[in-house]
Amino acid sequence: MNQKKIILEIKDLCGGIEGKDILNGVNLKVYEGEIHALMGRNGSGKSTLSKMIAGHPEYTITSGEIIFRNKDLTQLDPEERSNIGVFLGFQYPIEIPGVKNIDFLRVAVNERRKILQKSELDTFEFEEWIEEKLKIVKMDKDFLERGVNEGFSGGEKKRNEILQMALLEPEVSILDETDSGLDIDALRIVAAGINKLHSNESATILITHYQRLLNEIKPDFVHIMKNGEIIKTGGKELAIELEQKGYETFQNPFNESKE
Amino acid sequence: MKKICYPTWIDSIPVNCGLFRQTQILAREQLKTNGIPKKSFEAWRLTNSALLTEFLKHPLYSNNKKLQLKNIPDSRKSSVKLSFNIEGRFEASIGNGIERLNEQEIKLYLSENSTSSNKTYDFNKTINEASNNNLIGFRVKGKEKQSLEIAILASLNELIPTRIIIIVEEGSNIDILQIIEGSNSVSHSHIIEIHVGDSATVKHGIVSIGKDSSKLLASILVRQKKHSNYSLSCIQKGWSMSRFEKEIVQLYGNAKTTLQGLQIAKQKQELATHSLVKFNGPNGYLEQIQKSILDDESHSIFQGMIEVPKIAQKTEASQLSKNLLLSSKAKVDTSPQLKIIADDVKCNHGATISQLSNEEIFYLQSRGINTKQANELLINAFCNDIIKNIPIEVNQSACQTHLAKLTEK
Repeated sequence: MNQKKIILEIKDLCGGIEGKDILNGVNLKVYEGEIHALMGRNGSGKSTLSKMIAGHPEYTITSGEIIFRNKDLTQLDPEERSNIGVFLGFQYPIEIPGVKNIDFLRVAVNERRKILQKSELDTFEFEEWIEEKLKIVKMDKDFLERGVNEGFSGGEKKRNEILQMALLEPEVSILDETDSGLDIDALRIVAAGINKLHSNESATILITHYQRLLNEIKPDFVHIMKNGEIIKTGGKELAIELEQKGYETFQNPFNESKE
Repeated sequence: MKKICYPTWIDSIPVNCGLFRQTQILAREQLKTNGIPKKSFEAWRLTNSALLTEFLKHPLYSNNKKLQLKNIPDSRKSSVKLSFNIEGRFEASIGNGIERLNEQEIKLYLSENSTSSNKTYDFNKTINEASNNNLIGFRVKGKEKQSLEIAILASLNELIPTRIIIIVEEGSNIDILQIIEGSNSVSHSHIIEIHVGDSATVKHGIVSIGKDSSKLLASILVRQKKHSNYSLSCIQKGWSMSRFEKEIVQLYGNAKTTLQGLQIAKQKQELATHSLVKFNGPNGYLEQIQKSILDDESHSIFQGMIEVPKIAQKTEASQLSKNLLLSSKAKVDTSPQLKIIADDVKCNHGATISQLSNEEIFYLQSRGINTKQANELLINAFCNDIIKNIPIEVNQSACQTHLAKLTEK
């Protein structure tokens, strides 16, 4: 039997933003083919973790490591991380008026294809290729002609994020609250897209507040974050328990005596 | 004793014996009396006078030789391309809907519009009339849409005065693209006057690109009649100094005006736009946006005035100045202004100065796009809404080369 390979490993990661410590030693191992759900209260450090993995320049790592396929990610620029297969789906995808969605996507895809040693796609080839991908998130072609996320509804922005994931074919995707702001139908479309893109060679980390998304996408592991640490890890049942009891019940076993 | 400004230079200007004699005499007198505009004039307060002085030092274009116009062959028959400063003969017949104004018509025009009719000192017009011995006029008529491309190219250490008049008759429709280029120490003094007749449409684009220590003074004077539509997209880049003065008057209101401007500056360049839009009647409409991108120690100036007198009720006007700073040493002076007497109008104005957004750059980086490409995408995006309105269908290939150069940092 083939042994599963580790894609992403986070070791004792500490750090924060503007001198404020947010992560206090996060440990996480993600293997090929796995889906992880990361849950926790607002301010527990979930988004900070995702930004640090993607390499946001305003976040500082004070100690710890982020290893992707045996490479130290912290030494790479954000674009290099994306090019080797790390994808961050933004909680609040920003609007960039004037930059046409299709131009932006084509530049992004061709950068990734260089690393994958595939030939660059010209405008016509790209347009043909993207049509299949649009079907995954049921997006209309008209969206490609608009500015990046410009005037998109909340749901459209999130679908555009999943479209980018489909185009870039990442090995690990961290999706930060991809379900927030979605109506039931949009949630199903987005969830179906994520399921379709997930494979035995890639991994997905879902950051979410709600069990609802996890009904659509079955996680292998559920982690609870609190005060910048993962305090408990379990299976799908942990999300159900969390939904019933709330975060208050869960304490860090190592800090329990202190709280 | 009365001081005479720049007598040697002014007296060295070749005297014209023809149609322009009287205009020149008057303009030279004005120039001798006033010289370069003083800093105490509000409109010239921010201008670097040292650069301005250089206009009155250059020798004149090719010893009084008349500027030649050349009709450049074009695969698109509907487009007329004309070029100043290129040797060759001008073809008199330039299309069914565009004809040249004859001497008599030009004379009539000058008698109504020469410097002497101006109350205030108009430096660009004066220097142009004092030194120019040629004026090219066109009449646009008929219902069929016309296209006209005018290239003014120069690379010598000279002052190049050029002046164009375009009269667009009632109901006519024309795209006009002007390309003004300069390198070395060339100085351009350019005036274009456009009269837009009742229900006529003019889509006007200007791509002006300088290099080295080239300088440009340009005046765009537009008179609009009822139900006419005039739009201007004007780009300035690369001049050590450039200044566009735009004066648009809706003679009877009831017309539509769209003004877009883009200034791309680096090093110690100083690029300026001074605009005045005046509504002399009701129901006028104006949409104006002026943008600048500034790097190094460059300086961008925008002074925009909208005048809405009492007669101009129901006017709708908006004016916005947007500036993107790429360097901490670059400087922006922007002053959008409204002067409103009428009481039933919708007018607004505003100005923003910003830098490239770190969040936007990170978003693009997180999709594998490096910082350089991300900057290029964002700078292009900033310019795009103006560049896309340049009427390049006049001649796609010629213009696109220029446009490609525009956003190179």
